[in-house]
Formats: sequence, C-alpha cells, structure tokens
Amino acid sequence: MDDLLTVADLEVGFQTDRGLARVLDRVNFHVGRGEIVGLVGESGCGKTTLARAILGVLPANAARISSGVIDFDGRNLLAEDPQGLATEVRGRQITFVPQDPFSSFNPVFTIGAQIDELMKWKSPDSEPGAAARFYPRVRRRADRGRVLELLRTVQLPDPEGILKKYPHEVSGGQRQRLMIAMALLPEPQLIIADEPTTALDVTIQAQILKLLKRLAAERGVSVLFTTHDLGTAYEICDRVTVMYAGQEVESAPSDDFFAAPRHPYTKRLLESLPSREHGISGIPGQIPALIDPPSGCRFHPRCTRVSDRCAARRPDVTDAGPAHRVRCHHPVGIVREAAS
Amino acid sequence: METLRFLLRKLAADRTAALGALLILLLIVVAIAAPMLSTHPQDVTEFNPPGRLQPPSVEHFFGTDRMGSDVYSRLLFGARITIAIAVIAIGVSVLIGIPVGLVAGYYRNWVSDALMRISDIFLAVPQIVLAIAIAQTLGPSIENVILALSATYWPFWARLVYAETRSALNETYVEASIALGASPGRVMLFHVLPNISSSLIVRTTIGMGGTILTAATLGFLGLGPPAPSPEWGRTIAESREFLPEAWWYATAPGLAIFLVVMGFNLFGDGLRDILDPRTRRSADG
Repeated sequence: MDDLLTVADLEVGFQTDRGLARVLDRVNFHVGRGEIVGLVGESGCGKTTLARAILGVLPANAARISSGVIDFDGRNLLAEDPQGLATEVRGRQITFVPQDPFSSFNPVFTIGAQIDELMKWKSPDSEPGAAARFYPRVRRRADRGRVLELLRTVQLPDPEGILKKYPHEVSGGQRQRLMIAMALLPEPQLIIADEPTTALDVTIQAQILKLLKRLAAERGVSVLFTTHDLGTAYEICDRVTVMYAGQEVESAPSDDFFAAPRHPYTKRLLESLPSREHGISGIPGQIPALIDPPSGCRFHPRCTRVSDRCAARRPDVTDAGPAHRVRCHHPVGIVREAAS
Repeated sequence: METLRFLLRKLAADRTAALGALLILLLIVVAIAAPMLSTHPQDVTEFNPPGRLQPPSVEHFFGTDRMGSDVYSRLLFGARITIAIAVIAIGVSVLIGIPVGLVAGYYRNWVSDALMRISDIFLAVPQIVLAIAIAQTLGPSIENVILALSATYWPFWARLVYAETRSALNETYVEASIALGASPGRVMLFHVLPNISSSLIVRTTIGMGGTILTAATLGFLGLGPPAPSPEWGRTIAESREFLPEAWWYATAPGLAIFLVVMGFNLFGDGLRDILDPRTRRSADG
C-alpha cells in the first residue's frame, strides 16, 4: 500500500542539564491512506514527541533531530522550509486534535471568531500562502455554511448559538467536538489526535471516539491516534503501533495485535489490563531513564525472555504475519526455524 | 457597547468598586471644571497677604493659606497637575513596558535576557528612591517629575507582561497558531495581549494610585513643580510650619490625596474581580 506518512529511523533528543535525553531512538512508523493508526505506549515513551515531530512543533531550543526522515505524501517534512510547510501542510493537509480541550481555545474570543480565523487562512477554498489579509465576502459566506454543516455533523446542538459563545461556556465534550470539527474543516489528509479523550469522562470518550472514527472513514482521512489506553485503541484503530521508551516495538492490525501479540512488552502490556481472572498486575521494573538508556532493545532489563543478544544490538524489523511487524530477538509464539 | 453595559452593571453591584469609580470620576470632573468650580480662580497666581491663614468659612471653604490664597480653589487646580502627571507617567510606562515585556517574553535569546536584566536593574533600587534621585538631578519641574516616574515605573509593566507572555506561549492555541505560520507580531498582538489585558488594566489602575502618591511625595520634598504651583504635595509641605493651628491648610490636600489614591485602589480591586474571564459571560448570556 502506498503510505501517506512514513517515518524512517527518526532520532530525536532533548538537551537537558544532565545531558542529551534520547527520547526517540531510530523510530520507524507509517500511516496508510485512510488508515486509523493507534500509537500506544506508557507515559513518557515518546508518543507525543513523535506526534509533535510530525507536526513540526518540537521546542526549537531544546529538541535535536539527529537523523531520520518524515515523509508525508512525497515531501520530507524535516528538510523543507518551515514557513512553506506552515502555510501549505500544517493546518491544511495535517491537522491536530489536542489532548487538553481546555487550553486549546483562546479564552478571550468567541468560538465563532476563532473558527473564522482558522477558515480565513486554512479554508479549502483559499489559496495556500496567498496573503489572507482580507477575507472575501463570498468565501466567508461559503465557509460559514461549511462550518455550520460540520458542527451539525459532529452533533453539536444549536451550531449558530455555539459560535457566539465563549469557550468556557461549553462543556469539555463539546469543546472536543469543536476541535474535531476544526480539524476536519480544512479537509486534511491526516489528523493527528494526541490522546483526544484523556481529559474527558468515560461516557463522553466513547461518543467522541466513534464520531472521530466515523468521520474519518466517511471522508477517507487518515488518523494518527496516540493513547495509553489499549481499550480505546481497540475501539477505533485499524492498526496499532506500540512504543516503549522511545523505540517502536511492534506494529500489527488491531485484531492480530490483541489476539496474538508477538513482542514480550506488548504481551505484558495487554496482561496488565485489569481483568476478573488476573486481577491487577503490572510489569516489574521501571521505565528507563532516557539520559542513559539501556543498550540494544530498551526493554531488555525488564524482559523475561532476555538473552545476551538483546543488550548487544537492537532487533531488526521482522515480519510476524500479514502487516504484522515486530522488533524482538525472541518474539512470543513464533517457533524459529533458524534457532538452534 | 454590550461589554460596557455589562461592566457598568457589575460595577453597580460592587459597592466598593463603585465608590472608587465615583472618586476617580469626581477627580476628573474637578480637574476639568476647576475654573468654574473654584471660588477664587485668580488665587492660583495672585496673593492676598493680609487675609492669610483664615479658618474655613463661607467665603473660603477650606480657609486660606500662608499667602492668603483660597485653599479650596488651589486644591481644584492642583487636581489638574495630579491628573496630568499620573496619566502621562503611566502612559509612558505602559508604552515602554508592554513592548519590552512582549518581546522579552516571546523570544528566548540574548535580546530577551538583556531587556529583562535592564528592567531588573531598575527594580533593584526602591522605586521612590530612584525617582527622588532622578528628579533631584534634573531639577524641580512637572516635566522632570513625569520623567522620573516614567523611568522608574515601566519595569513593573515589563515584568508583568513578560511573565504573562511566557505563560501564554505554553497554551495550546498559541502553539497551534505559531505552528500554522502566525508571525511573532500576530501572536503577540492577537493572542497574548488580549489575554493579559485584564491584568494590565488592573495593574494600570492600581498603578495610577501609586503614581499619584509618589508624585505627591516628590512635590512634598520640593522636587515637584516650583512655587506657586498648587501641587498637592507641595501644599502639604508649605503647611507644615503652621500646624496644628492652621489645620485646614494641610488637611485639604492630604484628604484629597488620600481619597484619590483610595479611589484608584478600590476601583482596581473591583476591576480585578470583574475582568476575571471566568466570571465573564457572553453578550447574549
């Protein structure tokens, strides 16, 4: 399949007082056209850093991108001029649904004013890069119609009324619906949703996720969805990629992923979901410090299947089924012919 | 318009803030209408030594001073000086402090460091001491008082704007607009400034009170406009040698300073509550 987004060997570090924190270690990752990909991992494993690297919003003074390629629809996002990307790609072809719907609106302007501002610059009718100093009336009217229609589509009551409100006057769930609407308005090819439901009630979460999934499917938009909640990943993702301490360890279609995990970390992660049979269990050990991470496979100090090879070098990408890739020297459930 | 009406309604509900607003309004009216309200407008420049130090009467509401001039009339004209000094000094401070704070807060490089260190130098010396030093060096006049106050007050705004800008830059919506290609100027003017405007307005209002007090202090020390200016601080200084017999001479300007400063402080406190965006409601709400 022709991939929309390909991340190859991406290495990102953050300069800290104690040295360079190697937050992403040669990450390989891809999102197909129209595919919903879940990026799963514990807090601090680099999910958000990867999402931000794709969006190009890593803090410029601390982040060091030492190697790698982020290819989006044939363009290398790391090599191109940032200003050009800002006008042509960001907010147009790649949009973003933030984690926290409470700081995502400017509190001093009405929601309508902020959506107008977005459409003034990023409406699908507008020329990318054209100076949008003024906003032609014809386009404004067309955009307004589009906005109202989409607000209805995301099931917001009384769209006209909501546009006149201030952000603090609507609920968190409504704000997140607005965020999804705003992410869809420029008619993008890829939406990056960074834990979009973490801040919401569980009942609202399901609604928002279903909405996001339905709209993405209807419009053929790819979604990169980061979460630490395996349940939500199972709900909406076509494919799931797991990250551990800055390395991607396994990537598989959702069903395969949950039925037959190959990487020991993935297996332990799935087992750590609270259940009636197993109760609550965790993974012994701690997430490694990223200043001086373990060599080779970063999971090896906590892994039960560890061997000398694991510390020596990081496993290559191995096929473990259709579209199922794993990076492990000793994957679960595969009898290796070559193993002696 | 709706916002203004909303503001007035809130103000009416908050008694102390309304009192503050009333006092400020009174000061402005008095300053503008001084020639009409005063009973002896010529007394600002002309003296009448035989009638000196007379107690309050129907003829002289607050008595007369050491030159026989009407204290009440001079008080009204003094309000003009007070307002002029406070408004210009605060205006200059705001015009210097806000851009400095915005630029220093937005950028994270040596320019930012340099600007903040400069304002730190000003803040390191107590404001009144620095103002006295500057005014003393330049000589007594209204212009120099304004200069001394502006030079010592702008770092307060720079600091405030700097801190607020830094925290505003962490907001998702600011980050998003930067990622979408918004220019630094656009981010500062459309995102940062509107969000910090309420704390700026409150700081400015309360700062007016402080400025008036400092201006009066400079006047009292003889660093303000020279005699025969009816400046309030100077009037109090002149009245000292006639205390406690001529109590009205010092009481009138003292009370005026007290009421005006209190007015600005009460109004500023009230505004702080009213302008809090969390308690604000939309126009149709």
